[in-house]
Amino acid sequence: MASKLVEGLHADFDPSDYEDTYREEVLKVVELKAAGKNIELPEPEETEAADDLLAQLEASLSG
Amino acid sequence: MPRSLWTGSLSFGLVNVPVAMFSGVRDQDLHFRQLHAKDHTPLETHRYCAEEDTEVPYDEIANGYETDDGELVILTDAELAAAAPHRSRTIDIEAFVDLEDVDPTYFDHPYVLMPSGEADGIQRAYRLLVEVMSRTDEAALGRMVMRTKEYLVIIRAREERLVLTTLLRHDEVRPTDPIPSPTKKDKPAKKEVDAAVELIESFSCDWDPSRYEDSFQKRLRAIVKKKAKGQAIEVPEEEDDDRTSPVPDLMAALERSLEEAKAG
Repeated sequence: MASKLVEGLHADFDPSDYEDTYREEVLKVVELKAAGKNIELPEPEETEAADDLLAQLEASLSG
Repeated sequence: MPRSLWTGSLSFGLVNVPVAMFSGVRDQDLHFRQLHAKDHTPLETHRYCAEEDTEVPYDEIANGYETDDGELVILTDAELAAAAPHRSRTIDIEAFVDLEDVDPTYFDHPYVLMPSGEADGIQRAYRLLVEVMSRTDEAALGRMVMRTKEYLVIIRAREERLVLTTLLRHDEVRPTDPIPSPTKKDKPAKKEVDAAVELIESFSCDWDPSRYEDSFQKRLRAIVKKKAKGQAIEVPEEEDDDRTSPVPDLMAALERSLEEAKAG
């Protein structure tokens, strides 16, 4: 099932598909800070541990 | 066990695998201390604050971004993390590609991803990714933020582990000036190309990185040893052999190389 998921995500490699968006996001934070605004600090994300691998794979495929 | 450089999770569809990232490279270089040549005092680097006339410890260092009008905007590490909270902790696999489609020019630095946590589920999900990637011979593309930079990364299976290589961005690879298209005169002749191809074939071998020892470093160590014993180091004369001179007769040079390769 994991192999199917890999096939579904197959793409040709084109490095220009991957722009650096982080740079702009940092500049946004800089602007906020420069304007004296508060920067919301992110809550730690809950990452689910992989308990039911099969169910998660199935859900990924149907998604 | 070395210190991990990044921890977070590798996300594949809805499957999340907690991982820790380690450098895949170890330093084997010969290191030299920089000294003041006059009195041989080792040089030191200090982070110094002119305002307080004092040295600044690491935990008192902040990041200042200088805007176009010269204003300094101060950001803490936590505020920087707010720029991309998700990618600072997660590598989302966005696509799978054939590894041979990725030009080696883009390869930046190798790392190893290890499962982070002893739980059965974590180990199983990690092994599943290793197995599916070795079976399909595909490499995963994803993005992550480490320190203050976002990286495009490629992940593949190697020796039962997941290895990650950071990739250069397409706009980080510097465009080169075009090479003028060949005139009739400097276009290689067919027999030259054939001879060159034959020469390449005679050099062809299986890639085995352990065959390529760092002979420069060995010589460097020998020089250091000699100097430690107080012996004089001979400074070589500048080389003047014909190997470095331009090739007047390409075909003759190719033929001679082929003969040497065959004899060799």
